[in-house]
Amino acid sequence: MDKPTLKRPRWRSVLWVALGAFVAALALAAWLQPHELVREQILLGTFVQIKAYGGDAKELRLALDDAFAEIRRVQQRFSRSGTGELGQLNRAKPGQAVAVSQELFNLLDRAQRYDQRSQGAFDVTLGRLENLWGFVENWDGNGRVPTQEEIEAFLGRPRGFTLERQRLEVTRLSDATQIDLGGIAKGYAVDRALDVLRSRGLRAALVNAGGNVRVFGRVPDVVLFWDRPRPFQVGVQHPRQPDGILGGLTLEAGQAVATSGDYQRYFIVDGVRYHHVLDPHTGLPARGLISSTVLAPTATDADALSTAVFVLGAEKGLALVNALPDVEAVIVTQGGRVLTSSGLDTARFAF
Amino acid sequence: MSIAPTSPKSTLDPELQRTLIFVMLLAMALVLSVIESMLPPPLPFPGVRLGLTNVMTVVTLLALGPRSGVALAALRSVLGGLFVGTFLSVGFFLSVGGALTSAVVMALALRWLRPTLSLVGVSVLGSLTHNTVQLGLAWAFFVQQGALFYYLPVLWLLALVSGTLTGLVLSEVERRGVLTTLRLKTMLPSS
Amino acid sequence: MKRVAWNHKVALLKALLDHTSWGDRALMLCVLVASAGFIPWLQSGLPGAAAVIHLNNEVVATLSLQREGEFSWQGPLGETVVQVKGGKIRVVRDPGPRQLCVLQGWISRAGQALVCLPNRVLIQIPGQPRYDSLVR
Repeated sequence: MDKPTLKRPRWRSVLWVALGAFVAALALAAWLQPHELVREQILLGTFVQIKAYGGDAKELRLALDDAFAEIRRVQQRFSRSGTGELGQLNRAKPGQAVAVSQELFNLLDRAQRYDQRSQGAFDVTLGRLENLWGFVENWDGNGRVPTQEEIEAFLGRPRGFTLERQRLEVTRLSDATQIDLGGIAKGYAVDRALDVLRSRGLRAALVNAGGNVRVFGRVPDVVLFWDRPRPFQVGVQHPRQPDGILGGLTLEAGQAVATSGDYQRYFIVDGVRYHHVLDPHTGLPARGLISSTVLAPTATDADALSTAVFVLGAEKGLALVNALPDVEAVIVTQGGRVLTSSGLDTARFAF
Repeated sequence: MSIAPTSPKSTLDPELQRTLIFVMLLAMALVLSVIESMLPPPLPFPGVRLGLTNVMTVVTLLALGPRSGVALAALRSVLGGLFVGTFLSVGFFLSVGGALTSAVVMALALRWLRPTLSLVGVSVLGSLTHNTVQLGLAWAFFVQQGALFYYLPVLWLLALVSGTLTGLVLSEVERRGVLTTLRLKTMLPSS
Repeated sequence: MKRVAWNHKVALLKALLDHTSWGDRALMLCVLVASAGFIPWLQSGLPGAAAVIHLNNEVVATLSLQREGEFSWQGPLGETVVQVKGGKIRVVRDPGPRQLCVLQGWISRAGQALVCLPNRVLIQIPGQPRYDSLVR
């Protein structure tokens, strides 16, 4: 009896079906992949980058368009010498109550509160002093060291502004008071841009305006149909090594981080570095720290506090941060020591 | 205990016989999968297990041929994932990829490398490819950090041990004639 | 007692020799040599900046190798204690039965890792981290 032939048609068709299903699954998975869109522009006197993740490519583009438009709007309105609202306020007669928008009023109100909370370290009325040093709005990289008399003359004059809540009026107390929201405007712009992106139903986004970063959502990380979203990872530049990293942060749930440093805007005269973060009490660039990085719930807070901590120095700066809930900081002293606030979660922040 | 070879004349249609044996082997493989999943994983790595279920793949390769063997590997890893609860997880993709590739490699080894390598060697080769492919997939799709390859030496040694053990079991099984019986029943020429 | 143990080992070796062909043994030797050879190659990475600590496959801490100190975590078997000093990290104490991660000593380079399997602790010095954005 001869050997019966073994026919195996079943296996072949099964394999073909399996292959077809596999290819179809791959195609479906590729189609379902979330999109990523990254865009950069020069705004607010610095480099602004937005990264967004979402399901619809067109939606992403429109959302980014609107986010950048919002940043431009903030820049225009809060420019201290331009044609926007703040510029007009700065040019108005001192002693005269000027009606302003709710938005500007709120921001000035916040600035005043930071001023009080930081014992005067965060001061938005230093416009004239900054001009003396050459740190004008569209800084060209140059600066000059003012004379002692010029500085004393500035410090001697009264400065400040009052806010009238009912009629939303601001009164500058003197001509020496030039309101500069530079220490808070970038953070505010980031918050506004992020609100725009969030309202578009995107999965996640990161806005970075010259070192003020805020995020929402988690970065999608997809393999076929399996998505393991991961939190955003942000690196903090080393104050003295342009390509070096001081440490890494994992940002989640709307957190923001901002850094103030003596390496961002500065000039050197006779071997001495003069940077743009001025101490309102001395009129000179704040000494003691070379960088201060603050984590806070909003970018506005982070921006203002990073300036405040930088001016306050190690001891008072960390005391301020430790007293505030949900705010943490990492500072680098002149001597190169790295100090952190007491609540820094080492699971997510490596310095 | 020895299973005496029965008469080659069987009352069942050979195709049906093959299917029955295949299903039986698949069931045994799934049981092994479940048991294996209950043992502690040797590395804190999703999907890495002691490679014991390779035994059933080799038995199928020897008894029913290469295509059945590869099919068994595919089915047992997919169904095993469903049973164990890791379906569509990281570990699932890794183990499916590893099982499939190692089945193919072992099928080729059984065909081409036979007198040089015994069942032990084939088994070891299978475990090696299983683990290496798992690591490779983990790197390609999930972690992308060279640090993963730090585990290669450990994985290979593990594969060596588990492959040797399963290979020894297999050669004992062959010695007792079980595989011959299966081949006779399914009318497959002995390889 | 000792002789019984020795007999078991001999029996195992005999079983191995009986059932393996020369090809098998050559393969096994290759694997052993390759594994041994791999280890120094993996050690030649760049010095790491931080160590990531995993407990039960979840990240529980990121330690900078520049900040010295001792840290500990509670695993299923007990406490695993690590020490950071001079840019390096090692496991000081671990409840595992074979103490493999303690015996490994100090690690400091990107790509290196200490694995305390029984207590589910993994200490890894990651390679270049990729950041989504940089704060300048």
